[in-house]
Amino acid sequence: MNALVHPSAVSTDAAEASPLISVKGLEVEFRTARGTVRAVRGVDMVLRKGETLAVIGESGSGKSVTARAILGILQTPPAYIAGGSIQFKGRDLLRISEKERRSIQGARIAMVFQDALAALNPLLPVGWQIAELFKVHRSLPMWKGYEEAIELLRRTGIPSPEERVNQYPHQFSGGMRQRVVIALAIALSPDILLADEPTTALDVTVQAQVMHLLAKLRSEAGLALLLITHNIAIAAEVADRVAVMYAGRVIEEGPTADVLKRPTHPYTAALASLASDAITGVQAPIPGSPPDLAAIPSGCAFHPRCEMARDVCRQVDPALRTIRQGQRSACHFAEEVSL
Amino acid sequence: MSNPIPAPFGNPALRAYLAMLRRDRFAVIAVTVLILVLVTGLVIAPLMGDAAVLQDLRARMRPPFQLQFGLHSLLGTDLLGRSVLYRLAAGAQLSVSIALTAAVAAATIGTAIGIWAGYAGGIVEGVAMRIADVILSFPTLLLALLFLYLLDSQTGNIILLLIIGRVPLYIRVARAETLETRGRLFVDAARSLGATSWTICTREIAPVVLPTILTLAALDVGVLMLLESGLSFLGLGVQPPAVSWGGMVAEGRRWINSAWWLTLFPGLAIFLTALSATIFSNWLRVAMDPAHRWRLEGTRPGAASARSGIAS
Amino acid sequence: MASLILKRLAESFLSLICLVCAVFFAARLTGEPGKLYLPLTATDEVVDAFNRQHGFDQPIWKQFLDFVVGLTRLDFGESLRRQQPALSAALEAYPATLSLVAVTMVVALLISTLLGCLAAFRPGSIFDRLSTGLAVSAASFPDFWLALMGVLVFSVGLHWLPTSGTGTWLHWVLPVTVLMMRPLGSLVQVVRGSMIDVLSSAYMAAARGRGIPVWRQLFIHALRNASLPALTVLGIQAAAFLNGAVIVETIFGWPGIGRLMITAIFDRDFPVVQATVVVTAVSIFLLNLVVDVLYGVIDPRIRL
Repeated sequence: MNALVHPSAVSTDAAEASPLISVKGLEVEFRTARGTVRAVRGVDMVLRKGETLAVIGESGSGKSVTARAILGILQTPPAYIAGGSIQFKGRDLLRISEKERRSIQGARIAMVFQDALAALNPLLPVGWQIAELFKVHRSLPMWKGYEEAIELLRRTGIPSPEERVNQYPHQFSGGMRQRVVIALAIALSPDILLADEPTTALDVTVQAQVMHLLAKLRSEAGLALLLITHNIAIAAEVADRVAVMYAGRVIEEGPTADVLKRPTHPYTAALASLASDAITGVQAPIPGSPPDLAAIPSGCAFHPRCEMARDVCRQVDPALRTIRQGQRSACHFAEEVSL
Repeated sequence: MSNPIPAPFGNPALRAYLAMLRRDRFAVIAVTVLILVLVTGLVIAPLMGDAAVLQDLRARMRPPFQLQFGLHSLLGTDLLGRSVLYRLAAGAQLSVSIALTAAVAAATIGTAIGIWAGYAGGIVEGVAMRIADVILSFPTLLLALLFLYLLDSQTGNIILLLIIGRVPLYIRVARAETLETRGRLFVDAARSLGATSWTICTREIAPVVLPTILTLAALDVGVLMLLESGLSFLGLGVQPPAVSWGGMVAEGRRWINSAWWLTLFPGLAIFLTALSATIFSNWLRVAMDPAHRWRLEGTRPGAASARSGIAS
Repeated sequence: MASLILKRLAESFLSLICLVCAVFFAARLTGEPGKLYLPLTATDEVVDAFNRQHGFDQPIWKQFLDFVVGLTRLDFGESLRRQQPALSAALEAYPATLSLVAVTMVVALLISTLLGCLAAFRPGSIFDRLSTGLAVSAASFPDFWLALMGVLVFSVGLHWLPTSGTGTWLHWVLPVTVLMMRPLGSLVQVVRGSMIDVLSSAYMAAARGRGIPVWRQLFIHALRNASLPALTVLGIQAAAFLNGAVIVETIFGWPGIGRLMITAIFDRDFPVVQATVVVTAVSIFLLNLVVDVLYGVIDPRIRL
């Protein structure tokens, strides 16, 4: 696996196309009896038609929460949207009615989950869960939905779909289950696919197969893919653009090759070198650990772990600004990072 | 030999427990009721002499709350003019002592067997679990009824049967906790330092099992009281002329049309005591569990766990 | 699933055997088994004659052998008060208890599911706290007292319901209500707990993310999963239902096994007491079996 990005003709066109979905200033907090935790603190993100955006970050960085906010499945309580907007097809997803939201969920925006076994209802047959989508969104009778389900299972590469369609989730292997979850997600040909760590729970060979499937479906259907991962190598392989999140904010974003080869934020630089070190065998993990979201450091959230930290970093939280064409970073000393 | 690694629940001082108690209003009420019942049963009742059985035919069948007749008739009187209030107090003595004795005995015996079964494993464990299952599979009341028929209804027998009926529960719980603890590090550490099985069971395992058992026993006091009163109601428990709450309800049943107070008050006493035992047991469960204790301490979990020395 | 049922069968059978043996030996450990059958006022000669007549003076092992043989022929002896075999007396009374317990179980399951789901939907709400309080109280009521209070208020006071007996559906109201109180407490808590777990699970989030309407989520996706722990508890509570049945039948004059047992105890009709014990044990086993099968029907993971 190399750090070269797969050149995608789509991305140059996409750069000019208007965004399909535009997240602005998203803030999500979790209010529990123990206190309030700000999981997402002002995230801006843009996804264009046919584009693949990889959202990279450690656990706790807020990437999953952002995706769930887009899909609208955050559980309130304890999660509360404290601010921001998500523009999709002329509507703000945070302010639409329940009915409208349900018509979008599954049909226009869909999610592929990390743990396929947990994401499927263990007591309902797989085909039933797919057929239900057609009943709910397109008012098709269940038997027709089952036909569609068989087709979808075939498309996602599951052998003998006619038999498999009546089986239960626990009867599938890990990789096959993930394909079922993908089938559920693409069933109604959505515009956007949110993939939350789709391969993390799988072993390496299966990972490659699933990513390949996702890429194939993406190019077949022209859908936009928001890929959440902490695996930089995978991001490098498939993503057109990359957004790096830390402690609830996007701290760098831009075209994949630029961000990974010429990072403009110390955190991204550390991550990128970790990834390539993994290949050369030298491990130099980033010192420290991600901050407790209930007690975020003052100023720049990364400063306690940053080699380049200076006084201003402790005091002032840097805003996301454009450093080069199409590449933005939230660091006071962004220009010095790739020196 | 002192514990090489501290027991998983750091022991807060008694004062800390009292503070936690004050935070839960229902628990305070429950504890008050329980103390009241205990004091009545164990202290006041023996001092009452035969006030409870004193008949006064001039005072028969008085409805309650007629204050002109004084404390004696505060809760009414029965057919023989005996005071419901005094009989309630007298009934507390038997009900409380039976329930407490049975609870403590069942808890002790059951826990001992359970720890032994869990620690030793093999045949001992198999036999213990089998017996426990057999006893548990049958309704306790019916079992007690059957054996009280075969033996007679002396207080000792009643207590014995209640103990036999509840022991399996403790065996199961103690064994499960022992199995879980047995594999943990500090037990191995103790063994490697040359501790005997007995020492390990009493010093290492028992303290871990204790909180769960205590919670269960508190709950059990209520359950036992309900069981005993049921037996007395059916006529197979405490026999007259001894006074018990269940027996009072049975006596009052005949007069349900006219003297409703004869059934209401004894039953209410049973209900409130059992309810208090349940509430207290719930409070105890939270108070003894370091993971949930913060709910009663009124502080953030960070501070609380720093105090009890457990990493959050 | 067949192996599961077989295992259950074997375990319960073992329990049954143990119970019956315990009854046998307990009856004889008092030394004077004849006394159990005869009125307490019977003279020693009468008792001795009785003992000889029924073989109680024979060596224990021989008695046990006869007993076992009698068991295999389902012969529990003759009732001393009624003119019929003990077993048939027990079996006659059995349907009344079975129907009472069955109806109560179904009603309890329905009500607890409803209350538990509603409480889980809005945890911490007034409704939730009320239902928790109710659940805790329900488990603390002495059932005989509750029955009498029910009679006091609804029969004596308001004249809405009959005091005892069977016949119309009205006769069922108080007995079923009283019988289900104690199990209802724990059932509501269990349903609430498992519903909360289910509602916060990943597959429910996934279902929400597919735009499934709320009522479908609740009734088609969540309910099935949430009912499993409740079903288990229901099975465990089978013994508790029979406990309660004794009291309820006695107070309401319901012609079931529980009342039969109490009557037989006071009549000193030991064969009938023995027979009711065995019939009760068998019915508990059957109830558990039904619960197991039901569990397998709902949860496909157990089936295969």
